[in-house]
Amino acid sequence: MLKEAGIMRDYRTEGIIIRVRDYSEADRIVTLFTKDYGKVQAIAKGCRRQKSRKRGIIQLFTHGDFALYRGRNLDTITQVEGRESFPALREDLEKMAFGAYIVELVDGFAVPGESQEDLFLLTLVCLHLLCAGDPELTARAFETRIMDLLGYMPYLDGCVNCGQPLTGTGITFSSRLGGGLCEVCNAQDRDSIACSMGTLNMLKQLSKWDIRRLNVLKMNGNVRREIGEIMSIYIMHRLEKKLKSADFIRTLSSVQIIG
Amino acid sequence: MLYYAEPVARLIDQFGKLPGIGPKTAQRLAFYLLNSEPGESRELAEAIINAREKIRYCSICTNLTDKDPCGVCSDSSRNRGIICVVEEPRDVVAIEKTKDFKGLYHVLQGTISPMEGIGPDELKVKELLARLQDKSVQEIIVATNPTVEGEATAMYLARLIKPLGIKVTRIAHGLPVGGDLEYADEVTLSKAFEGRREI
Repeated sequence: MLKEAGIMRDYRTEGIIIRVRDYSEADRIVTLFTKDYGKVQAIAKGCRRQKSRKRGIIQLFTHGDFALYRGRNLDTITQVEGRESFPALREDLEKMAFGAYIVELVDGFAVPGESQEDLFLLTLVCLHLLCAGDPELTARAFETRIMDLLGYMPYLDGCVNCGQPLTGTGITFSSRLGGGLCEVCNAQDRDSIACSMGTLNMLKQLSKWDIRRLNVLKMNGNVRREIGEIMSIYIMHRLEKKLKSADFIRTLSSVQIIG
Repeated sequence: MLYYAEPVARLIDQFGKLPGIGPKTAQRLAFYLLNSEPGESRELAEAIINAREKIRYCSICTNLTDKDPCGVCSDSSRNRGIICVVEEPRDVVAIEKTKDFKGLYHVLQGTISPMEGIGPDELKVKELLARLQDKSVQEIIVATNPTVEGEATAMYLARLIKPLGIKVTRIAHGLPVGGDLEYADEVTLSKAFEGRREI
């Protein structure tokens, strides 16, 4: 038993750095989202020192192979080899902001010690897509996919209350009930948000679309705005907290207007 | 059971709150002071109180200072056309040590960090923009750290300031002097190639 525990203390895994915090003189505490062990909190000792080899790699968004040593509260990163550092996310403010949003969502929904390989792959694909394509569209696709993976996908095939098909006007989206409401039922949730049929269809499409071909998908301004609004409130309900990077994205878009 | 007399315990406790000082070091510092000349501990206590009471933020550059405006801002020999933007007061010291920069500074007191909820409003960005009303400023050098947060801050400032017709530059990234190519990480190395220049 003891020997078994001894063997288990060292482990290697593939992971993405989803949160970085400075700690003590020259260390950083990072949150890794790993392929095999889910969310892991680990300390990277001395990585802020000029001489440290880990310095360039222990940065937000880095995808790499990590060698860790299990500790009582925190694991220690003994070695890292970077696979991809997503330089495009550091050079473009918009992409960086949406990237921060994606990893904050992962941080919110990932479970420590539990492998969620499909979520890991989704995160990785979306970070790559973010570098190459439309950042907002990628973030919207990520939102619907993560909801789908975790079993929170809203019901869109009909009215969530009466089951009748959704058509025409007066359609709303209820975060509390988790789906679209028809004209008759929209009084069931006074906080539900008015939206178009096109928006609900786009949500459905986003959850099924081949994500590698995401850039082919066209999303007009109105649908874009409505999906953004719906999903941010829906996710806030599921996560039971506000996402800080979502606020930042809002601040950013207001600067753009001035600039 | 109490191991120490109450005043000693309190002193150790206070030392223990300082960064990088564990219980053992705290104990050593406390006993050193107790065994030292009475004047020495008085001087230390006065220095702490003095620094705490006299130091505030410079109303122009928001660096720490004992007089307002600070030494750099009130120095008439410095170039008022260039402002170097840094994260922390410590960075000003680091740049001053190079003796190469003769312009003024602006200390942001942090960096933009979307995930920690630190946006531009939490930083001294407004103060910087106010300084730019003075038409004599021609260039802003952004010298935030080359981290994701530092880069985000730099890009944000560029977006804000460039439309005002002021040149915005970013300090170079690359290999440290006396460094070794072989041991450099990939990101730094590719940055060094990107920023190469003719000799």
